[in-house]
This record gives sequence, structure tokens and C-alpha cells, in this order.
Amino acid sequence: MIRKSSLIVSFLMVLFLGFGQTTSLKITFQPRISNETIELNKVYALNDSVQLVISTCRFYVSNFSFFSKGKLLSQQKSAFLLDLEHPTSLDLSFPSRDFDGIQFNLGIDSSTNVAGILDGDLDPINGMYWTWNSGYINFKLEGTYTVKNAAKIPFEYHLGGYLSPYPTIQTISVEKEQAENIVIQLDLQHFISEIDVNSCSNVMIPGAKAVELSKLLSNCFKI
Amino acid sequence: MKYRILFFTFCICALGLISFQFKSEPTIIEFNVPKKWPKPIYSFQNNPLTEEGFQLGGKLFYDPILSRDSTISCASCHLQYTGFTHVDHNVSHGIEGRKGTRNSPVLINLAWNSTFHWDGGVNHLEVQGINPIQHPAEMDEKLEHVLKKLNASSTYPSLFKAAFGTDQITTSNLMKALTLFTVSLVSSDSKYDKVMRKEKGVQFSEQEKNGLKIFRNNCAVCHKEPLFTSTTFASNGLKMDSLLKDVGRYAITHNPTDSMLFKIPTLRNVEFTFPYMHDGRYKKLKDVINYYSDGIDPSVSYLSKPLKPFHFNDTEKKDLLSFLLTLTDKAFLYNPRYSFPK
Repeated sequence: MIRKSSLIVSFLMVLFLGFGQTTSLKITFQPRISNETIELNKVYALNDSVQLVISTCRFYVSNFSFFSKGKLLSQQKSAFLLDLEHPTSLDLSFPSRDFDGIQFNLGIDSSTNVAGILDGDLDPINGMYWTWNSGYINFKLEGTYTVKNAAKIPFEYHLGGYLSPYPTIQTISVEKEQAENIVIQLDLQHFISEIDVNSCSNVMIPGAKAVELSKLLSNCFKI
Repeated sequence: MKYRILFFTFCICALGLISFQFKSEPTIIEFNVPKKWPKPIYSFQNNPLTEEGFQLGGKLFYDPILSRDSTISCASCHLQYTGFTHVDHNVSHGIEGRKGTRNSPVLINLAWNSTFHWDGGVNHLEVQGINPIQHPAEMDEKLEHVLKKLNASSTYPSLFKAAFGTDQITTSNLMKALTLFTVSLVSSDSKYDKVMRKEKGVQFSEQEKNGLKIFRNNCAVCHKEPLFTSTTFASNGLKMDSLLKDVGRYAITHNPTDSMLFKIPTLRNVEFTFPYMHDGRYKKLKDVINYYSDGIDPSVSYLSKPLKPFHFNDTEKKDLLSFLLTLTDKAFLYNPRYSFPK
């Protein structure tokens, strides 16, 4: 009898420990400039002559997949709106797995774009939805760019569009051994420095330019 | 004994009343697809058609609370008696008399459409309603503010509770309610429909018969039966209005071959949906027929496919017109279910 109950107890303990091990994985996105996490409306000196201010930085990441040796372990078909104005939105939680690679989308896939009205992070009320040309804005960056002794240039990059031939969604893969916390950096200094802000300060519609900038952006993620 | 019977009757009534009060499940109603019609595009999968949802959608449709200063409702530009369009206005006017750039489209048989607006920019019926609410020349209101007003109202939260099981009014259940009303606006009871269904005692006149023949030979490719639209896009060769400068579908796709293409409108109830064309430039149906007959300029450069004038003679024009009038569906235009809620 005693043996039986101790068996049950040890079984429960194993169960408990087992559950204990599947702690959640935290992935934090860190949009950065000059190697620091961006503070909205702060003036950053990119070099001696250029000043940059970011007033809005908001984007969607979706469909996280976890891989081990190239094999898909799990996939989560959901979208998250990350907004620098709400720093907690930059922290995402997933059940932890024994993975060595993560893949996710920057933006919203086409089936979600044609799914009608949606809730939560995908609610059009979040200001990340074009109503007249239905579809999500995958990435929104607004601010000012000032070259010394020249006028301040306000910029607005609203990148989105899912229809062929201009789909803007990007798939991003990162290699990373399992850890409790993973930080994925988004180097916006690199992004801005690759754009001629003077001649291209506004992208507000789907099209070739939105695709070009989305591709550029996808290369700015790193661990 | 008598009192006892009375008492029991009272109890049963009271119970009935209580169960009615606590009835939480909305009443599912069927979406009737007319015989031989194609399968609707709208699936109701995430938004089942319910009586409560339909009624709520109708109330919202007729309520100016959706506009910034509570002056404009959906029905301001979509009147039932004229096929749910804005009769007599080439382009519609919204809040403070501000003018839009296009003729307000009819709301007829929307369930069979996969795109909305003259340029097809809207890809789902459920997201259509956000446009007029937020457009500065229409209701000029913010979604957040509409939700605030609705949530604070004394009537709406309980109606949403009855329709969607929650009294929290969100973008999603607001849009779903509006969809349940607009998707239900089905017109399929015109003389044309009755003749096609071979209903007793309904026949085309000789003139209407000839008109149908002319229609099928010339117009039906774009205005395909039974919806009287192929629901795709086409250019009808109209020259661009120099003030409105509307490039049509090109504004959405940026594909040069989509320049000046507009969504083909249904011709159902066309008798009452004047003025006509995307910019409402023709006041009379006669003018439209005359344009297609003699007014098309084949040299117009932005036609993706060459379009030739149809050259109808006077009899053909009259026949065609008399056929088009058989698309009038009074049962739809005067259906009390679609009218201002009592």
C-alpha cells in the first residue's frame, strides 16, 4: 500500500517536473538605433550631420514556426501587433520546445488579409488597416530626418499590400538554440541609412516601393 | 377550482415569459438562394445569419449615430425605394454637404460579390462598412468614437448581447451586424425572374422578348444573368471626368491595363437607380442606351479591349429599354423587412 502511494507521488512529481520544464519561451523584439532600444520622440544623432527622430514604430509579426534540424516542431498561426508605444507588446510568449531555429513572418499573410473583419491585434481600429484598399499595413514607421543646415524631412513609411505582383510579407528565419529569453533586434538605423529619405519620404500604398522597402527591412532583423 | 386553473395558467405564462427573457441563443434564419442562382460568395461561416443580427444591422443602417455629427446614416446615400442608392445625385454628398467623387452604388445581391466599390478596392463585405464611417466626405467619424457612442447608448448593448452574446460592442460585431443586414438585401422577384421561373400568368410582351434578345446578344457578357453583372471590371469607354480624374481600378492595382476599369454594376432595379455610370453622368436610362449605341468613341486610348458602338435602331432601343424595366422588383423595393425599423 505504501509502495503504491509512493509510486503515485513519484509519478505526480515526474509529471510536475515535466510540466515545470516546459516553461514558456519569451521572445522580445527590440527595434534599435545606434545600438540602443528606440525611445519614441528622442533625437538620435546618426552621425555628425544627421539627426533622426522616430515618432511611430508599429508592425505585425505572425505565424511563428519552431524547427529542430530542419524539421518543423510547431507552428502558431497567429499575428501580433508590436508597438513601441506599448513596450509590453514587444514581448511574446510561446511554449518552450527543443528547437534550433525560428521562422516568422513580418506582416500578415494573404489569407488573413481576405478573411473579413477580425478581432484583437487584427482589429482595424489599431490603425494598421487600409479600408479603401482592403489590407493590413504590415509595418509603420514615422518620424523626422534632419540633415545639418537643411530642412527637417518628415517621413512616413506604411508598408503593406498582399496582392500579386506586390506582396510585401517577408519570411524571416533566425538560428537559435533553445533559451528562456530570445531577443530579436530590428536595426532601424540600417533601414533608414539605406533609404534616400530626401527623395522617398512617403510610402503609403501597396506597390513596388513598398515591396522594396519590406525586403530591405527583412534584412534588418538579427539575434 | 376555477382559481386553481387561473393560477396554473398564470404560472405557465410567467414561466414562458421568464424563459423568453433568458433566451440567450439568437434565432438562426436561412439565407435563401434563389433557384438556379450561383452559390453566394459570402459564407456566413464566421457570422451566422440570425434574426437578431439582421434586425440590429438594420437599426444601425438607418441610425445617423454612425456619423460624426449624427446627421448621416447609411440610408442617406442608400435608399431602399431606389435600389439602395442615392437617387438624383451624380456623386453622393455626405456630412456638411461634402461631395464624394463617385455615384453611390446600389446594395443589391451583395452576397454574390467578392469585391466592393467601383474600383473593387474592398475585398470583403464585412470590412466595407468602415469606409463610409471614416471617409471625410461621408460620415467623417472615427471607429473608436462610434464604438464609444454605441457602448454608451441605452439601447445598443442589449441588442448586441441578443445578437452576438456580448454587450461589448467592438469593430467586429458592429461590422458583422451591418453585414447581416446588407447581405440580406436580395432582389430576385422581378418580372424577369417570374418569367424565368415560368410562373403562371406572367409573360414577356413581344417588345420585352425582343429586348431580352438584344440584351443577350450585346450586353449580357458584362451584365451576366441572373445577377446582371459578371462582378468583374471593365471599361465602357467613357472619357475621364476632368474634375474627378478617376482612374478606376488602376488606383488599387497600379496595373496599367486596369486603367479606367470600373466594376460592372448590376442592372437589377435599374429603372430606379438613376443617375447612371460610376460618376453618375447620365440622368436617364435612355441616355445610357444612346451612349452604348452611338456614343462610344472607339479611339479612346485607355480601352483594354476595343469597344465598338452597338448601333441600335430606334425600335431596338425601345425594346431594350422595355426589357430593362422588367428587372424592377417592387417586392424588394418595398419590402418592409428592409425598411426603416419601426
